[in-house]
Amino acid sequence: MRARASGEPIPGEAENETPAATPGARPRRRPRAFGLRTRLVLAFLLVAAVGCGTTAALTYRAARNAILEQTQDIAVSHFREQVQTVQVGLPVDRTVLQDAVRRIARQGKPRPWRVFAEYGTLRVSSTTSPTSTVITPALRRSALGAPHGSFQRVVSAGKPWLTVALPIVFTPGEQSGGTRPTGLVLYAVMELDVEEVSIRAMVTAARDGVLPALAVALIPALLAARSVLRPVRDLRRAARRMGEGRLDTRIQVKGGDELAELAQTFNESAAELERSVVELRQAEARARRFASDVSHELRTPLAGMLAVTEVLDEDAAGLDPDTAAAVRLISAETGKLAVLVEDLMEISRFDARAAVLHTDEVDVAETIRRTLLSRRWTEPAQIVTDLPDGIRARLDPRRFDVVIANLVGNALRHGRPPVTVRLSTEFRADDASTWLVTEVADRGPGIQPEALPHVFDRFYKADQARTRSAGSGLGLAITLENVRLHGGTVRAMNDPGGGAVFVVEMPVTAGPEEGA
Amino acid sequence: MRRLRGVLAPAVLLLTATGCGIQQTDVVEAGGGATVTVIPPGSERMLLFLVDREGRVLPVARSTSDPLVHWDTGPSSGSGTETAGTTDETEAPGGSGSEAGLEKTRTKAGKALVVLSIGPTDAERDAGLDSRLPGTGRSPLTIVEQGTKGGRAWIRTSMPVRELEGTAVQQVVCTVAYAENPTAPPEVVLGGPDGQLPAARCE
Repeated sequence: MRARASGEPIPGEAENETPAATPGARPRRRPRAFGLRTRLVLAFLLVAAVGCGTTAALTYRAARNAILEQTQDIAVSHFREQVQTVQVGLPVDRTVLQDAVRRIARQGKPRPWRVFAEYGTLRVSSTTSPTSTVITPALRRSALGAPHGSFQRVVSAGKPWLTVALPIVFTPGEQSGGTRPTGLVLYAVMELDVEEVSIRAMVTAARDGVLPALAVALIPALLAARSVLRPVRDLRRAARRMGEGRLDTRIQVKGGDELAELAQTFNESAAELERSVVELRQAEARARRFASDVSHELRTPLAGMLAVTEVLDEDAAGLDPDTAAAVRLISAETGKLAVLVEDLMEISRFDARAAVLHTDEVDVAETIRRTLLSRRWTEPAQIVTDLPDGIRARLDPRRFDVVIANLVGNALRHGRPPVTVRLSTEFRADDASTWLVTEVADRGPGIQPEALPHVFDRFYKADQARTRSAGSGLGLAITLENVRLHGGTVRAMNDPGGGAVFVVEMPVTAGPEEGA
Repeated sequence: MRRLRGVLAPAVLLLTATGCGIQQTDVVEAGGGATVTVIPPGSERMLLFLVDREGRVLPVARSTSDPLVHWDTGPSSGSGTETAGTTDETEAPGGSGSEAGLEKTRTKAGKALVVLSIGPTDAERDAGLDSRLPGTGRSPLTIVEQGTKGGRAWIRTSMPVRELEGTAVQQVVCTVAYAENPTAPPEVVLGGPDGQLPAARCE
């Protein structure tokens, strides 16, 4: 309500989502570098990437090992089967061995082998070279050392090979009994090119699978970010509206998660706040109404008292001196009380926003002169005026009269004459309007610096020791309210040359308060 | 950021540990050796043990039906199946009972040992096999005494045994053991003119 009255942004604009509606007011809407959305999406993608990567890696490893193990098992068992069909003499005959090696090589499974044989100094193979470059000394040592079959995968010249070594044993006895190595060792060598192609295909498949998975993960990431961000955005908007004074703002509560709880709490707090504010306002209104009522109630008896004191004043001359003094004191105090009550009622009207401007186009210099004249402040020793003619303004003559009278009266009471009243106009570029500047200065001691911020407060005493003031104590407060009503300002300051200066600035055309 | 690194580090580690393509391996043992049929078959062969270039004691199988072919090529004189016995009689240093010696040389072990002492054939030499017995090729040894006692094969020959190197002892032990019982070769106690060696098994 206050916001609306003081001309701040129209509340309807707060709901408008386009940033152009409130230019420069909020530098938001820009995507932040590491905002909640980015962080959530990145976290989702990271989790998805780690998940996909781990799964792919483990699957890949298991599948690769399965492929290789199968190939190895087939190769080893089939090689053994083939070798066991061989018949040899001892020592092994080169020609017999050559034939056997060639035959075994052809029978190779899953693919033809290259078979190498070693016996003593004899080296025979199914290829053109009698020895292999792929078979490692470690495999050979293992085969010669113990009568166990063994295999080894070797990467030679960038190609993977499977090498199998099989020491040949025989039964020295009649079928049964232990075996004894013959000294003959057969090696089978097979390139693992087919297996490598299969494994590479798995790597490609895993890689091609991860990218779509990440893309798919982006969707829940964005959804989750949205579900978090929307309540947060609502909350921020509501909080801003509350800050703008719209205490009836509430958030729509959706779902039952933590954010919904937060919104619920926000709503409860807002309701509580609204209730407190309403209570406060009601209390304040009651207090003001009380002051206003008291003033009103006092007015009627005061009017009677004033009439009586006037009569008594006239008769005072006929009374004995003590009684006359008492009667005059009562009369003076009653007059002050009447002024105080009038001022109180005026202030109450301002507080109740019942004060209304009745503007009229007037010659300001003439208005001020009339004010001074009516108060009989005309002696040059008392009042010095600098009032250029021809300054016309639209203002409430009665209220302006009160302003000038209060300021001049104040200067005469608390400062020292001569009091200077100076009138001028000022053109302000920022809102392209002309302002009326009225200055009231005295030659007194000026205002205490610590009292400066409070001179317009109600019942403020610059000198605490002086409990009794000549005025009601409301004069400057009423001045301030009147100037404000015109859309202007009043300032108090000390002239460096000595004395207090009050400056009233009002727009030449009465302010936007008109008609409020 | 530290949290992020904590998550990423194991993932990267896992990926690098898994690796791509086919990796090398160490030698992996896979079952026993391959059993083949050696010809001639068990009943028609005599197993002798020779040494290859790498010092391993390896068997060779000679046909029992055709021992003369080899024996004739040997440098020693004499002929027929009794060559070993004859040699034994003529060259026995101690002049012990020739009847008994002859009897003993007729056992499988004795024969095999005598044949072994004559040395490898050309085919065996071609394959890189050789004998480490001293005096090979010049004079076959003679069997002085031979028998079985307590599950062990005892044999005493004309060959000094103290100076024999380990592979040579193994040659003799294996030859004797497999000649005695190819299914379950017994321990062998080898003796010579200079004493006797502790019981040994064919490794």
